[in-house]
Amino acid sequence: MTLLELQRRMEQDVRRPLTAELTMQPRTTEGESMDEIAAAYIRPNSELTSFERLEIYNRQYWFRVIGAVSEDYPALQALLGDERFDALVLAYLKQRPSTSWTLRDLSAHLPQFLEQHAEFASEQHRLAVDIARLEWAYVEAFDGAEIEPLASDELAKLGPESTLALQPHLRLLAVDYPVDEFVLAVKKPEEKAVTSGAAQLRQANVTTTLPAMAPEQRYLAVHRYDDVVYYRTLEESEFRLLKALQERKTIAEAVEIIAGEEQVATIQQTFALSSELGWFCHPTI
Amino acid sequence: MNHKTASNLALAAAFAGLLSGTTARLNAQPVSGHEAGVSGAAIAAGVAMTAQDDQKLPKHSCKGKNDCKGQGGGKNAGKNSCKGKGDCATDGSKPKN
Amino acid sequence: MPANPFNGYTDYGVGIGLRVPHYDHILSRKPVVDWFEIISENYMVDGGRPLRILDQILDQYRVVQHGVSMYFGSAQAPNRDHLRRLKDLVRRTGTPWLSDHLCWGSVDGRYTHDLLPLPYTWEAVRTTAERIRQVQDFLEIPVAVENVSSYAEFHESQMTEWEFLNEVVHAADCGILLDVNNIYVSSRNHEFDPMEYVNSIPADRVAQIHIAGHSQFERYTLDTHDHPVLDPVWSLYARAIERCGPTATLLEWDDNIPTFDEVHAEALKANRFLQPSNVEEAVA
Repeated sequence: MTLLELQRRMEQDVRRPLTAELTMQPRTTEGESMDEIAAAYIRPNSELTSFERLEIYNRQYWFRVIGAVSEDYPALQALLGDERFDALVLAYLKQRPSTSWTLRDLSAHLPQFLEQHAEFASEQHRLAVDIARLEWAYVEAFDGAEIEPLASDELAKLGPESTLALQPHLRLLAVDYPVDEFVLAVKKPEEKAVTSGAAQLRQANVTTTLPAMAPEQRYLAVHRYDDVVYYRTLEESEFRLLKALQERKTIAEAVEIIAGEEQVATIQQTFALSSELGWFCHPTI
Repeated sequence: MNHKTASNLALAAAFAGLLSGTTARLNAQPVSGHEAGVSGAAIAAGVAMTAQDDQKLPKHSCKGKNDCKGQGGGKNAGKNSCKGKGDCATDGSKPKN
Repeated sequence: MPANPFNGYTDYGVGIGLRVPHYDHILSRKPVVDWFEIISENYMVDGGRPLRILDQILDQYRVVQHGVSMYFGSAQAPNRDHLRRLKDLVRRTGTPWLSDHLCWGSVDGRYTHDLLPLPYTWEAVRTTAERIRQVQDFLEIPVAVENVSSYAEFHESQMTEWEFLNEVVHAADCGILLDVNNIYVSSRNHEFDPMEYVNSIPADRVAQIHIAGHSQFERYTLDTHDHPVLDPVWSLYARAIERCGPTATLLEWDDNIPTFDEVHAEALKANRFLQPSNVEEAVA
């Protein structure tokens, strides 16, 4: 067996799904004996069989990747409950094993996966997807790149045909539920007001009341300021304006999208806020 | 008001906003710590998403793993806790003094 | 022989792993610590708090990089994006040497994120040494490879683990990050004499030593980094220092992390052995 053959063999076995008892499966889906597979390349010792030695790595793999994904979605877990959340994470990881050297990227596609698999959230599907999108936006805002904001001399060179890049850590989300309140209740339990009639989440010594969720269109800007991740709720027109600029439309084109007499104040306010927070950078004049 | 006038007004508003916002940012005092409200920009930032950003822990380490405690996942359809599995009858972690 | 080509001719003492729960303590109290080791991957991000904190630490302390995903022993070539980001971080930290593990963990573009053991074969020696040379050439700093804790051995192996380590570092002309806790853990799992391992390594290539705690289960031992260092590991450490001389030493503590002071105090126990006059007494 060459080095590459051995590594392909072991990688396949290490990623093999565990049983419900969190042990290594005794047989592959093709019916092959894992005892025989393990014995073919792993030595037993006086305490453990080849199967048991391989099983240590099989379990470690799943504990590590499940942990890495779960850490990023505490609010989604609170919504779905442990049983449905675990089923979702396992299904996701089976379909999307890591293809990155960093565990940071492992859960990047969970919102998209959930979007395509309504069965893991049933009637709460839309809400679950929105929560997942906001939680991943948090991760991206936490350690996304920050570019030098627009300087005053660059400002002077701007014209209607200029484009503006927005900070890479800024994420603009349109959601169908007020999921910011839900995520906040999970991430900052001690600071969140109690909503009557809602479900309860028990986490360590903290008991958090989760807000009841009814459909409500919201527009959110998730970003980092002074190393802390914040969100702001936006008006629809503010969201559309910023989205257009993020898509590298010129200032004139972006403004035109929402232009109208009643929008002048909104336009000024949006540009002022974005500039103050350093969201605009590296313009193409 | 015709379309061209409206567009000009909108553009003027955009550039006025750019100017005032950039000026406010450049004149702002440097902010340290995580207390929202210490400057205008910190207030404008919105709502902090965590009580302490230290809660976002890095994921890489070189330790072995025998459970997935405290991470929610892996309970496998809610039937089994990851904790305490795998022949861990003896914990020899205490120093043998 | 603490300063050698494999640790950039430095003379570091006892350090501890930089961990998030200790950030506030370190930055506000500014404790005297000889050096910190960082897990490179946790700082190979585009921006934000991890890098800001790192820069603040770098203003006041010496930092050495330790990686977990280079996978020198993987049969296929290293990831270029990973290498580029690692080099960026090397420039940022000014680390005098860099370490990662003598293991594999990825194949065909899929990553296990574990430190998987290698078969101790001549093919693995050649492949691993070539990878180490490539990385060392690209990063332009000395590289030290760390022996891992392992829970499985392969029929394919043609030599002992310490013979394999010797062959690899000789062929790659690189340093060793000798993890005496890993030696102990593997000795329990593979039923060999850990002292024979320590006695067999080329002392002049040891750039750094790791110490850590582990967990002993009924039928195997796991490298959990969640406890103080156990006595058998201190004994191996004493012997390693006896052979290598006072060497840069780092305590790893990654789970159930206690206060900074507790971790630092545990690490400083190494000083019992690092003072040459104390070695004989400590071993006895």
